[in-house]
Amino acid sequence: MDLPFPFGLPFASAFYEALLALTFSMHLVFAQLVLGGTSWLVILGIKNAQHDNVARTLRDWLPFALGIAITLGVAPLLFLQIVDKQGFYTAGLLGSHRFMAILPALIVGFYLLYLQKKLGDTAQRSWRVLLPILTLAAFAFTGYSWSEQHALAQDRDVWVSMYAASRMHYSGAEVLPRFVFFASMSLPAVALAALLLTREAKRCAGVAWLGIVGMLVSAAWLVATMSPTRLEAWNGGNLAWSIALAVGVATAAVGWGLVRFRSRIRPALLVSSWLVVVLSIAALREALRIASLPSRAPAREQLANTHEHALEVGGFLVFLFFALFLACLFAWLSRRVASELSRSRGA
Amino acid sequence: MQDFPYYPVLDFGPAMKGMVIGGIGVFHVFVAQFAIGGGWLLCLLQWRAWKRGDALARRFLDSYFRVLVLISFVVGALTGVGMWLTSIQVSARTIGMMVDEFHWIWATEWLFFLAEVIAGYTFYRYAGRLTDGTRFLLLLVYSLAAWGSLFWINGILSWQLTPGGEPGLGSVWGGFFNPSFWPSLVYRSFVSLTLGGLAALAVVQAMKGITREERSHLARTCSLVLVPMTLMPLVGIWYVSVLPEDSRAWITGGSALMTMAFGIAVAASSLLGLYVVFGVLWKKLHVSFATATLLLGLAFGASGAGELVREGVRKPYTIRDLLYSNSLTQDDVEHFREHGSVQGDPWPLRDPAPTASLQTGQRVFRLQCSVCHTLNGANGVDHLVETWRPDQMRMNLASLQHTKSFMPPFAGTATELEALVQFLLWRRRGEPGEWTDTTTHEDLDKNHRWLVEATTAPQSHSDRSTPKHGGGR
Repeated sequence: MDLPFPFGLPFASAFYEALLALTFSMHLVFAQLVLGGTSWLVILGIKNAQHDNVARTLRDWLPFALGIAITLGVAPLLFLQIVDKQGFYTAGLLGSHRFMAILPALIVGFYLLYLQKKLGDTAQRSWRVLLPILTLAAFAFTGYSWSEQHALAQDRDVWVSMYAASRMHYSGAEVLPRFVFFASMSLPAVALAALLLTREAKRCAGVAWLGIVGMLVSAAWLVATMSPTRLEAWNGGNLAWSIALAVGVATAAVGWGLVRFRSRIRPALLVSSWLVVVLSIAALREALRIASLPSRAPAREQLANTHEHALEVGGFLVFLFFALFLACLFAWLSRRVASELSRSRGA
Repeated sequence: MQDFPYYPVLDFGPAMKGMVIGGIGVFHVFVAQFAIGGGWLLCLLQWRAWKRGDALARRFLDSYFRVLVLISFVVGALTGVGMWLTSIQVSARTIGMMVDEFHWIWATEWLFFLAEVIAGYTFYRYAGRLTDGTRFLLLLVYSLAAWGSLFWINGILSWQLTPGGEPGLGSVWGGFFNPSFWPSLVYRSFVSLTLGGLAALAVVQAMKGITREERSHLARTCSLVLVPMTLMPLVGIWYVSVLPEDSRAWITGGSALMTMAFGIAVAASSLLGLYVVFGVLWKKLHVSFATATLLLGLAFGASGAGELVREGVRKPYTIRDLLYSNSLTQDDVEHFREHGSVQGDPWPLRDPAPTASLQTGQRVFRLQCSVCHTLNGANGVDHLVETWRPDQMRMNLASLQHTKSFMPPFAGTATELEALVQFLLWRRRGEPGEWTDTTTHEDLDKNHRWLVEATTAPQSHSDRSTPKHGGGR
């Protein structure tokens, strides 16, 4: 592929791939707020930070972030079923009960978040440590399972042997570095949200930098585990996305440096650099997945035909109409709510 | 050679796959519909608080909304995702075909779900600082979005049962507004109101710091959303009237299980309706927490039985006229009759039988039977065929759709049929380590003759059209 993702693909494939990458990015932002926020709560719990502004803010917002993350996760799941049924379904079936365990884990994690919100600073110290650890375990398990599922969907060579051995756990070389990468990435994400909500510049910058270092180390680890064929997907047209990712990370690091050492908060710089990072990662992730698809021409052609058929199915205009309508409705509602809230604050 | 999508087949031990998806499905539907009905009740309460200055309604509303958020936003949302993932575990091809046809409808449903969550959380977080008008607006958006979500998903689910007339596969709106769309939507909307109302009755009784009179006042207000329940018999008749004739036959004596489930759904709904009209609204009986919980339990039973009926009356299809319960299309059946069904199956056997022929039978069972049958657990095939003589087994399996009309036609060659028979006989004899295949040419000839006589068409009913030839993946 000489053009960057998704431009080298036939129109229908490019359309659904772009939607998948875009909706995945939206999901990723909130999923990382939850994972990063819970990790931070663990640290704060261990450090016995009672009446801590960041801890209070995180406890307050995390249930909402998780609700949105789960809801936003539905859309990429839908588009993934258009672009690669075989990989997604087969990996889900092979993971079987092990993979399905993410559901009770998420339910438990969700309620634990609400419990932490309700208890707030009144919780005993042991609970302030234990509850975040249990919550983090639930979300880390979920995140790891998705990393595993995603990697398994691409590793077609192991499918048959895994099924024959009734093995539900996949431990390919890419799984752990991939998970560590996304987990590291969650720290700058939550640091940014916490900065905007609490303005605690130095602490947020510290967490963000920790995450950026983790990203760099785990990215190197991930690249080291990749086969030359898979690495090729990073080159060619997708070099543009790799450069965008590097620029995004570098800009974020500079932005956090300004926050840490000059106490200059540049929300626009931090937010836009982070959006570039998220979008680049979503694009590269998809480019790698496409590279793993069967290379036989008939298989590729069949997949392209499936996408074309999907594009012919009606309903897109209705989707578009309601997307615009609901966006306008919520823009209006937000203004109304915001204005009443500011009035109530004034009173 | 057509390119059939073989997926790995899972084994749920003694549990039927239908039990797995049914269990999660009933629970999800119950919680999701409670969220929808609860939303409308909240609108009603907020309206009374706003327009009539009903402070008690406002106070109750804030308590009830927290219950709604804690249950529906967490368990409801996650069991919804769970339904999707479980459907893939049970029949990946079914969900794949539905996604192919309706992904924009599903995407639209997702928008409504997102709107529901955002409106709900905004209310949850800021309601205490907002004016009554804005509170009402938020609740209205929440309720409309929740019901809209039902509207969209209802079109997809009802399409599975009655895919519609001529348009069928390939026409979204022809399929979406299918014959059972409207009765199903009205039925589910009424069920939602009932669940929202009954849950509210339980919350009213659990509330602390209010007098008995205030409790009764609130209970009567909440009961208002139960009134449409009285129309359920009419909606039920409407719904049943649009079912295909053979589906209707299952619930009117054709299948003991379906008839019983249908009876439970009707009886439980009627009892609920009668209690609401005569007990709560007319006689103004006090509804204790225990009674309210019991009524909710009854509603859960009715809801579960209704879902069982909805799933069951589709047999032998998972998408009527397009995809059989075992995820084969009519094209697949015809192709496999000619060329065999398992030689292209790339998935190895996990516990292979001792001979190649038995393994073929094992693979045929896995591909064609295991979605509805276990070997010796629920709906176990060992038990079902234990009294059949070998020739009887050959004939019954060859003409499966005539043996039992809710079964799909056998999709394989005479040799594969014989392999399945031998596999079942081998199991009957205690799975001996050595097995001598005694199949004769005469047996294969008989299999062939019975397969030809049975044809590949499903058991015909007076109103059943010829199956469409869909090739979805």
